Amino acid sequence: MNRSDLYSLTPLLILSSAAILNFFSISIKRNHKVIFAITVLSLIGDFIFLTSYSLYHQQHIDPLLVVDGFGIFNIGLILLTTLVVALMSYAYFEQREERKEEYYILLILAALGACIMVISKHFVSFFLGLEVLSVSLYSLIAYLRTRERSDEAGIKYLILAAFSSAFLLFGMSLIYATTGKMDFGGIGYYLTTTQDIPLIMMAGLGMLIVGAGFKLGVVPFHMWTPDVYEGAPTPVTAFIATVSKGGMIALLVRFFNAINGYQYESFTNLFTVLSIASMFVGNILALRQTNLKRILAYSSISHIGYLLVAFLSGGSMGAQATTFYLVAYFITTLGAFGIIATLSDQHRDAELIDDYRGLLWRRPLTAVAFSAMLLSLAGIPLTAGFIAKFYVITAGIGTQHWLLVFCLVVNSVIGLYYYIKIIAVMFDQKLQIKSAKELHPLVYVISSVTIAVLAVFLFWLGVSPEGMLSLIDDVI
Amino acid sequence: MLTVFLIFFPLLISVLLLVLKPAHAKVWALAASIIELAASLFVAYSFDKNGGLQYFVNVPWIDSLGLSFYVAIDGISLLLVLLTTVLVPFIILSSFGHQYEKPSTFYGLILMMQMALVGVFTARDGLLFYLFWEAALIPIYFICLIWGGAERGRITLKFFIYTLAGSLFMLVALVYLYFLTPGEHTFNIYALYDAGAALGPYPQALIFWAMFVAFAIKMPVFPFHTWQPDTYTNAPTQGTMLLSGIMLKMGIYGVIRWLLPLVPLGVKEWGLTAVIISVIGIIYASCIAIVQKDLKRLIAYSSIAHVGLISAGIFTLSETGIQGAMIQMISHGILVVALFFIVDIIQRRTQTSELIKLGGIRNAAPIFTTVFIIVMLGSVALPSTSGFVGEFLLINSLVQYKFALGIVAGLTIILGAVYMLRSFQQSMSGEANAITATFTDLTGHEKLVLYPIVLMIIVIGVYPAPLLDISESAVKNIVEIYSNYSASVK
Repeated sequence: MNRSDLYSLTPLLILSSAAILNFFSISIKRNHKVIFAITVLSLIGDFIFLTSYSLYHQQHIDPLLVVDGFGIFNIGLILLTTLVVALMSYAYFEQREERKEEYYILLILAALGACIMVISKHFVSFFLGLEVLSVSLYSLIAYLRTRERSDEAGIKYLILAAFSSAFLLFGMSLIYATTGKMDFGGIGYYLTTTQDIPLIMMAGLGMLIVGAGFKLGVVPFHMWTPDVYEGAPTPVTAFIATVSKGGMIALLVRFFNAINGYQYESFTNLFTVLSIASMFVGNILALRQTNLKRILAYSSISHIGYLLVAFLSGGSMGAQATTFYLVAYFITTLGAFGIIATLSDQHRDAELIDDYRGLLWRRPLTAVAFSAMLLSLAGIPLTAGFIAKFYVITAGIGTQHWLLVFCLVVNSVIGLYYYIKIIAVMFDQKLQIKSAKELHPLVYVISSVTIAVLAVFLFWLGVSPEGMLSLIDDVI
Repeated sequence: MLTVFLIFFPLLISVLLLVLKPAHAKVWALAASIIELAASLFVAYSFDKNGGLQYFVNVPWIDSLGLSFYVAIDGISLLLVLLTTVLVPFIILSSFGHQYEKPSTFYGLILMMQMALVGVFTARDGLLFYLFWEAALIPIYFICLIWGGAERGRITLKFFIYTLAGSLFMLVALVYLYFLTPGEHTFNIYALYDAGAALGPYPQALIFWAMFVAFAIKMPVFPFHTWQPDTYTNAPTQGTMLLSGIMLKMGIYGVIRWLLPLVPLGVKEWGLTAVIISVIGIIYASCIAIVQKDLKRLIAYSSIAHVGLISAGIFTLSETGIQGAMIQMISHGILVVALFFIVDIIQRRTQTSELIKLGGIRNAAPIFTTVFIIVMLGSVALPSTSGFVGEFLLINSLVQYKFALGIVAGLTIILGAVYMLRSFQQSMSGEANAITATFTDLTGHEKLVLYPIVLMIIVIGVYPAPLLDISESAVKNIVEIYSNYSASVK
């Protein structure tokens, strides 16, 4: 390893050191504020360091990693997302009795795992990143262990994630058995030398897709999503919905481009089926839910379906649409869960739709911000969600994926039903609910400012996405 | 630049109202809408009616999506912009008798709506048009949701899903055409026209339906109308006025600007179908209106009937038909706002709009009764009222198109007379009951709304030529584009 390798890996080193620093800090004295400050500062510092890279930076750290524009962009996205999650966690955990400090260590480690995933170009680093992420998530999901559904969610995730890891490993070994390679480039090269993909390799790739499908929560591997979303602490849910899924998408884009997977009809057909099934199942199951976290879980299933439309379009247009969709979806999802987190009290999360009845009259700004997030999820113009959906439709039509586009449009309409229903509940008549607030008001300022910033980004990307689009264009 | 002012001035005031929440929001809103009116009158004054596109602004907005901020005014746009800017002050003024909660939000949303409406009528870029089209939905949705009647949650949900479902297919059609534009793809309307006209009959038919459904839901034309009566009845009066007076014209305008010249072959093939369902809608809605017991619902159905006639007239693809549609849009907008305001006045004083509980108002409120008579006569298209000019042209165009259809559509005048006269009879004449006996006559702001409207109804009815002149060359242009394309294919 030489100096420029080290320079390219510094973002990962900063994250690791932040985790270790947190360890020491806890061993000296448990202090929520200090840990929080270390976490936030190191994430900000890391992001600032990241901006020192050129967009065309390209450093191969053979054979495991490649730090290029696409990777840097995704690392940046992960860092900012983790930062937002950390910011919304403070108020959320401050009001609870449990020990709060280790949470931040796990959060940082999970982010580290995701960062490794998005820059990996080899099965080993891919799996390493994935496991770092998953193992941190097991404990994060069950972090509030005194709550009734917390253990259930944690164990469910543990079993299914372990199961999917087994699939991944088996798939990787089958591929290795055929090609003798573990790096994406090598596998891609092998594929150019053969006419047909051998059956064993086909099975291996299929298992990879199953494993990745579990992580993404696409139908039919979506069973864990609603339960885990519901059981996990709200900031952790936000993290799963964004970083964990986004990391996997970024990896898939890289892998598929390396092996040029778009030329194989069997794969594109498979993904088409997954995409359509996710859209319909996610949206239809969301219709009758009364728990907001479950609604968002099903909605995230359908959004991954939309995302796959962009992914399937392939080419630079597809990759751009995918990346932009990720950004918009991250902002919106973080905002939505952030609001759930701020409205939660120390005993339970504000997760039932009825908790939001008449919110407009109690907390008008929160209601307006939440409406904006929901409208963005529904893809209404002048929000980031619209531009993202528009881009996906454009990518789909440009590559003549008519069936997918048609399903996407139909599903956007189905999706409207439950998003708009929530808005209608919030704008319902006044109810006299006295919410118990015990903390210092300053604690809530952090969350409120975070949400306000997210809302501003939401509209900014919706009205003037040019900057973000050209940035994405540059890194791809 | 004046176009940009017309679009963004209401938005600016709207944002100010929403953020600053000043004490007298309604006065601010009224003042803003009057300034807007003055600006639009200036545009009308300096408008050269043979000058084609005027006041245009074309700046790129999002290059990588092919979106530019391209707005311009021609005769058709000008008439609809005028309709918007004339009606909004009256709509705001009509609310002075109400005490809405969160007034600054209420008036802010109305002005935001005005911004989107002016945008829709002036946009010359496909995606920009779509953006304004959707942007118009958001404020009216919240107006109906926050200040609506008892069942507003369910009803606004249906309204929202219906209208958005339609427009998503329109978006897909627009994006499809976008990819057919040569070179650097663009949403510029003329590039889209060329791209659409170059297609074969089958894709044109698909695009025709994708766009037509979006417009038909907005108008609404039978059988896409099921959201409308509930929404009109449940919305606060000002919301109903915006919906029926102006927003419905978005659909009609869409057909004229974004359908006829866009896919001439599709229109040629399916135009007759569109005329037939529009005519069915006229008869169907009129029949339902006859048996309505609630005055507000009755007017909602009568609106479907009127719009059906306008839509049928447009699809005759003749200059008479489209000119008739233009003047009828203006007339219908004015009349329907007046009608809903009359219902609002009755509702506020008697707490009901059920015909059976009314009656005998004419003795207690002679001025009110007179105004109602004039508005009603305009609505049944009595000669020398504004309603007559439009309906005459429209039915004339239909008779020339297909004689039988013209006759059936002509029934609307008879049926219209039946339900309007019946409603007038039941509410105004007859025996007064305990509530209606003490009906107070028109008061300050009510007079300010209704007198000018009555004046407009008569003036337009007697001397419609200036309005017809404004849109004449633009309508000719549209008909020409259509007939050139469909002739070149033959």
